[in-house]
Amino acid sequence: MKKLTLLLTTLLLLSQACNKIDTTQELFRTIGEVEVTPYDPEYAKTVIQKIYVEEFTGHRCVYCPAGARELKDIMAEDPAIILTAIHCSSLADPLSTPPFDRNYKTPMGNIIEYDFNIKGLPKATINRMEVKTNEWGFDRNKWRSVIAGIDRKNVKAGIQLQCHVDEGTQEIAASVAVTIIKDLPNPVQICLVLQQDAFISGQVDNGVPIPDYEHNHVLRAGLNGNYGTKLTPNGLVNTHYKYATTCKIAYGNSFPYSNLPIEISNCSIVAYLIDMVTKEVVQVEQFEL
Amino acid sequence: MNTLKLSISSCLSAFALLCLLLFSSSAFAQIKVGSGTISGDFSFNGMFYIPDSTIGARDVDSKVRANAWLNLNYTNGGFSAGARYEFYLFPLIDFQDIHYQGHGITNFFADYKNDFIQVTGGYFYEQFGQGLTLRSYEDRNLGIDNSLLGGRVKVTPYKGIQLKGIWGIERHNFNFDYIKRNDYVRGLDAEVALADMIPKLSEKGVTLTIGGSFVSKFEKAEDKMFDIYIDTAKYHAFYNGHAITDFTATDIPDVIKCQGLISSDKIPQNVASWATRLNFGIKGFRLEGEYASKVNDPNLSNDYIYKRGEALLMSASYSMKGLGVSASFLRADNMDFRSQRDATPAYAALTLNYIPAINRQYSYQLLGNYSYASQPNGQIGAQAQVNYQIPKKTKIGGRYGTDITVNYARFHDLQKTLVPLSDTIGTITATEGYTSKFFGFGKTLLYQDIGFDITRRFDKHWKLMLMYNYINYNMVLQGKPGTINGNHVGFELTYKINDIHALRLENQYLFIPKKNNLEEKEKGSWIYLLLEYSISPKWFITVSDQWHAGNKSKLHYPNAAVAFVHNTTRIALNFGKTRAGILCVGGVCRTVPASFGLGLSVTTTF
Repeated sequence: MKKLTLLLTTLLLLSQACNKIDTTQELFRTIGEVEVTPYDPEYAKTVIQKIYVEEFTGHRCVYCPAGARELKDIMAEDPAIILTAIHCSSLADPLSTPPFDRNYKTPMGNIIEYDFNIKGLPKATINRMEVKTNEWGFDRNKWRSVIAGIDRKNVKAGIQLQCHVDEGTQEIAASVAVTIIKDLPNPVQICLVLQQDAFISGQVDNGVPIPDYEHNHVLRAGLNGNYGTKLTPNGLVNTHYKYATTCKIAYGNSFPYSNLPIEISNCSIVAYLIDMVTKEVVQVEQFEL
Repeated sequence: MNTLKLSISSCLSAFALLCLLLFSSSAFAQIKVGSGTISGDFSFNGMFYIPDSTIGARDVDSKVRANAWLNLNYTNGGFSAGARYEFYLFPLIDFQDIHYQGHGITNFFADYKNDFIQVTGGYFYEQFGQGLTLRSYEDRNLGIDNSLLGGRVKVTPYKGIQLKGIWGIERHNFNFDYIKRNDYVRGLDAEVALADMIPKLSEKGVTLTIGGSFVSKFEKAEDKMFDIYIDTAKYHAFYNGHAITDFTATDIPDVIKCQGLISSDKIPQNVASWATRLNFGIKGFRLEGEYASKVNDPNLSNDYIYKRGEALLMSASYSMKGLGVSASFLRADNMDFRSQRDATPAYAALTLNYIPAINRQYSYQLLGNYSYASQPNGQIGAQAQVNYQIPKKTKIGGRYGTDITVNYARFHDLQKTLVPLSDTIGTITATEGYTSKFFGFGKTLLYQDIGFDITRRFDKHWKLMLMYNYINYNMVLQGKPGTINGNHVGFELTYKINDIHALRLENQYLFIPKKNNLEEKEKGSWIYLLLEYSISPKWFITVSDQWHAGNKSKLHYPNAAVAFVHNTTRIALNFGKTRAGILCVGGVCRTVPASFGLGLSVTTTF
């Protein structure tokens, strides 16, 4: 019996002295210029859940100014909301004469409008949560209640955003760091967009043309694609790690929509983390330039 | 200047200690303390460096340098204890280059043994079998000391059976902060000598030993970041699919640099290695074999692949009067096994196992410059040797007989087929790496040596040795391009004037064809000449020169040395130049920088 116990103990010890790793899965991730570091638990405690609202609008949309005012009121009450205005549909098409001759539409905005099946303006996506199957655009009367119903305590990720404008090269460099606080089982991507406030041009407001309407939060371009880029090759991220990367965009002559010049002081960069399976936005952050 | 003064004063202190020891040792020899005995040894190896740009001997910051150590051991019956002080504060530049620098008590131990058990605490050395899984040893010339700090138990429960168990943290040069270490080693070894257990076997002249060992190292896993260089033209499909945009361009078209990460949970913290061995002998025949395997061990030396490692070492020999025949086979694949996965592969530090070089080891200078360095991560080869003595008092053999040795050795890299995943992603890192047929020879010839030597004593005074070798030495073994394809001829002529005085002349010529792809400084033939005059048993006076006659530089490396031996003390003084190259002992090598200067070496035991 003693010998058997000794043998079993030895075998147990030997089995503990060897870790075999399953190599049938990819063991490493290429991460471009993404720097991966352990997270800062103290920072993680300070992160608050922010909410990303994409307002789908157009300068000839009759009720869109009312929607904009509604969102402005909600944002005044809730500073955790970050808003991007996506001008889309035929109601955003420019006319040949002022004050509706500005084109605020972007290819990126058009794709988002299509992919999220936006029909009828004004509409808004809220963290890109699904309204019902294959529909993401909430009607104006739902915005407040949907936002109020979001669980703010279940913070899964934090985003830290720093931007630098190089006037010499006319480049904006946005450094974004994503801290994974809770398990994210699905692949994620970080998406950065440039948006601009204080465009003055025409807007139909409840049937009345307003020639000097102020358009804010206007989506101008994506910095790293329509849905951003992966932080790892397969998009999967580890809990308690921080993934930091930098994206750049030129705002000078090479800016793709130079018919509307960039006014840096009116611009901001918005970074949001997307769950690529549910399509929902996990976290969002904004940096005023 | 302050550093120079400090190094001189430090070396002088070591030298003063040496003189004291020489005096005390010659006066007291082994010291009796009660019923026990104190013994020890001391060594001092110092040099005054002179810069010489012609041979590349650099202007070192501290020109006076020395390695010194003192061992003191106390033995009383089955109990022994000891300690070692090493002084490498301003070490010889070879040792500084491999970071073997510092000073302090580098070894202490207490050991008790009787017929049944041996228990050791402190630093200890141990080897399982032929060392494929564990060889903890020291070699002062190489700057290797991978002793383990911990404990060891050896038990002999029955005659012919020995069990060993070890646990320890491996020494890493002069880094003594063991508390902060995140790695340790444990192992078990069992050996059964059947001939000791079965008298009938020993009566028939049979020896039969079987054994097995298991060694596991633990090292805390941390996320591993590494650079990857990827040919985007070739691997476009994969990386385009992964939509990663922010790579860094490199100087090479289409090749980009990005970073990879292996997260800590994908890195094995416990890496195990096991081996089984057999030794069989009957009369003049002997067969030895050991097979070892190692589980996934991603580390710096293997580009962090997860392939299983394995090694096979087989040797057979037969000897009878006047004839000895031996043959060996070695295959090693991914068997670089170290305490820390990020240990620098170029240095032997933190190595846990030993994959020997089985080729013939030469002490002759020009062949020694191209010694084969064992390749634990990929080598396959064999060696055969025949020693024959033409009998004494025959027409051909002469009065004293004639010794002939013929040998052949050949080593290749391994035949490897990259795993499909590595071909998809452009790197073998974090994959199984490759597959390899067990007996598949790779296309790269690492080393080949075919040679013979004939030794004959003509009379009481004259003895002559003639030798010839043809060697192929791939300079990749020294991290350089090209291959040495050389014919080496040499002779050693000894003239014994009388029982006390003798002269020895050694001459070697290594012919290297001019057309080759070697670096310019490596091209061309070498000539070596040595003359030694000895007055036995106390004095040895030597002059020698290595001449790079076939090179444009025509560099000479002259040396003169005087050695004096008194009882157990040897004092040697030498002055001259040393060429840059490698120094190998048993296939373990380290680089040697070019140097010029005056050296003093003293060793004594008491």
